[in-house]
Order: sequence, then structure tokens, then C-alpha cells
Amino acid sequence: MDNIQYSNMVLELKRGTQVLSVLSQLKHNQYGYSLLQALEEKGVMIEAGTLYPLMRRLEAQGLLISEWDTSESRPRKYYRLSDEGLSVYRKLMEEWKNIVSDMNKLMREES
Amino acid sequence: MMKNIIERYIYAVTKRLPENMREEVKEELGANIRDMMSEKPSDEEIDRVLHDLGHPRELAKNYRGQDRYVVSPLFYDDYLQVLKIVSIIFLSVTLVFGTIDAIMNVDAQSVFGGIVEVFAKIVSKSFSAFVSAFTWVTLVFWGIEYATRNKKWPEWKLSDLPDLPKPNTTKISRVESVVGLVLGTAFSAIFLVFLIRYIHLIGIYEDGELVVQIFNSQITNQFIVFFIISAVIGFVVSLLKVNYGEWRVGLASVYTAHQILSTVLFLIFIHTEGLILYEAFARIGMYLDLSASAVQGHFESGVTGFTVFISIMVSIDLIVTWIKTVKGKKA
Repeated sequence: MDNIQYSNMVLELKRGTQVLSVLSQLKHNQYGYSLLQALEEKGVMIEAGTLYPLMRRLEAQGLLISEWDTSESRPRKYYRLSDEGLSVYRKLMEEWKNIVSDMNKLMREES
Repeated sequence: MMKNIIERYIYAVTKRLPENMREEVKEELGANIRDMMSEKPSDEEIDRVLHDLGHPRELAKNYRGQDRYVVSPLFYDDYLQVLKIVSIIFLSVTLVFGTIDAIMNVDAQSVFGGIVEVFAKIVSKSFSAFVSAFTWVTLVFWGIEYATRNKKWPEWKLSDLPDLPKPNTTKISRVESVVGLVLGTAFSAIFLVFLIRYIHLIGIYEDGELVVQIFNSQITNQFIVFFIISAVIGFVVSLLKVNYGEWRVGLASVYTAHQILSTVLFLIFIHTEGLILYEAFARIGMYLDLSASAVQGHFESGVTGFTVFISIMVSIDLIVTWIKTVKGKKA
């Protein structure tokens, strides 16, 4: 297996966690770049070209709400969880915990 | 120099998006890009940030959220399959009518010129036929993709599964190809010997005396070299058939080329003006109480009917050959 195939596998693995990562950081208002930095600070790397469109999509699905802040010199669009987004986030968190415990079981058998 | 590069980047993204998203994405993407840079960004900084965001096409795809296809990957194999079959059908229909049409209207004076002309016409018509096959099949699959986008497929049934193909349908029977080789070679040899040596002996005899020669040997002599070439190629193709024992794309292509070449040559031959001497028509007319030109007229309509018949037979043979070849590749 070459390096490209390997890094594609890693990307594939991480892709499933992107929505959960984004939802987890949006209990408070964030704009695109601030969310990117917040995630990066915690070691979660997500490409800007993936993150910005994802935020828009989650808004279209009703999980996020947004508003433009034009009071500063740089206008920014802030996002935060809607009520539905919060409940979806909690459900997804439960799913994630199940996945982690299942995976741990599988991999403990291995070692 | 790099002044409006950010605007150009944003435009390269938004022009790929649906109209109703453009304004919104433009505002937001612009704000995001400015947030990623300092107040007065250097050219290098702009370059880095835009490359971080990725190719405008990629970014637009992410904003659109769903992939769009002309032919969906789910249908791609069916698309190729249908394209092959439709191309074969379109090409063979073109071959029939194109050959008939080209043979009937040869402008060139020499035999070689005639062959080249007929071939050029067939090639150009075949190309147009392939382009229309491609266009229609692609349009239909595009339509299917468009109509079924975002729709859930109905539950599939076990009875929808295709039957297993019959084994060995692509095999060429060895007996058949050996017999074909022997008969074909014998026939070509006899034909050529007559054409070269005895053409002046074919005629109408009365009391064992040659009265009228039928073929104009000046004309038949022009064809000798082409019939020899065609016979040699035919012999080689027959050998290849025996050798491979099954239809493959290469063999089927050579076979097709030879079938077309020999058919076209033969049809040009029988359509050549003056091939049959006028005296022969007159003589036959004498027996049948008809004028020479009436006999000639009947002969010419006979030749036309024969041309249509031969073209159809050869085309059916080629269609069958190619269907076997395509099936063989699939198995």
C-alpha cells in the first residue's frame, strides 16, 4: 500500500467525525475562521475549503443558525447551534460513544 | 498586480454555483478569506491562503454539496454496454445504406479511385453514425440520471437478475473455419484463374463455337490486381480465425475491414459501366425477343437488387460477429 492510499484511508476515517467536531464547538457564536482556529487549537485539523461549505450545509439543514455582524470594520457571519442542532448533537454524541466502545472491544481482541 | 485576485478567486467559485447561492457565498467567502489574512496582505500571503482553500472547482463542489453526473457511476457499466450495442447497430445500418449509396454514385474514373472514394464515404458516414449513437445514448442516460436524481430506487427482485450467458458463444468452430479457409481459397483461386487466363472464353457458344464474349476483358484486367490483394488478405484473415479460435476485437476488426473491402470491390466490379459487352446483351436479346437495351436494363436492375441483398447479408454477418466479440469481452 502506497502513501496516497494510506492517507486517503485516514481522511476517510476522519471525514465521518467532521459534523460532530463542528457541532461540538458551536454552542457559542463562531465565524468561519474562528471556528477553524478553535478546532485547530484542540488538534482537530479540518481544511478551510471543507469547513466553510459544511457550515452552510448544516445551516441549510436547520442545525445551525447564522447572523451577519456588520458592527465591526470587518463584517462577519456568525453561526451557532439551533435547538434542533443541539438535540442532534447530543444524539450523535451518544452514537459516537457507542462506536468508540465497540471499536475498543474489537481492537482489544486483536492485541 | 495581485489586486483583484481575491475577487477573481471568489468569482471562479461562485460562477460554478446555482444562481440563488452566488451572492450569499460571495459575501461569506470574501469575509472568510479576509479573516484568514492580515490587514494589508502580501502577495505571498494571498497566494498561501487561496491555495489553502483549494482549487475553485473543488470548493464549488463542496458548496454545492452533491456530486452531479451526466452518467451516474451506478449506471456507467450499463452505459458502456448500451453504447457498444447501439454503435454496432448504427454502424451496420450505415454500412448497408452507405455502401449501397456510395457504390451507386461513384464519380472516380479508375478502379483504385473508385475504391478510395467508396471507402472515404463509408468511413465518414460511419464516423457520423458513431457520433449520433454516442449523442443519443449519452442523452438518454443523462435523462435517466436527471429524472432519478435524489430518488430512491424501488426494491429489486431476484427475478430481475440476468440469465447466465451460454458458454462458448464466442468460440469459432474449428471445422467451420477450416472448411471456410479451404472453400474460400479454392473459390478465390478459381475466380482469379478465370479472370486472368480464361475471361475471353466465357461467352455464348453456338455449335461449340464462341459467338460472343460476355465480359469486357479490358475492364476485368483493371480489377485483377485488386482481387489478388483481396484474396490474399482473405486468406490471412481465415488463417487468423483458425489460429485464434474465438472472436477478439483485433480479429473482428481485421475481419470487418476485409469483408467491407472485398464486398465494396466486388460491388464496384459489377457496377462498372461496360463490364458486360453490348454484343452479349444484343445476343441474349435476340434469343428472348427483346432489344439489347431492354436486356441491359433488366441486368442493371438485377445488379441493384443484388447490391442491396449483398450489403444486408454482409452487415448481418458483421453485426453477429461484433455482438459475439463484445459478449466475449464481457465474459
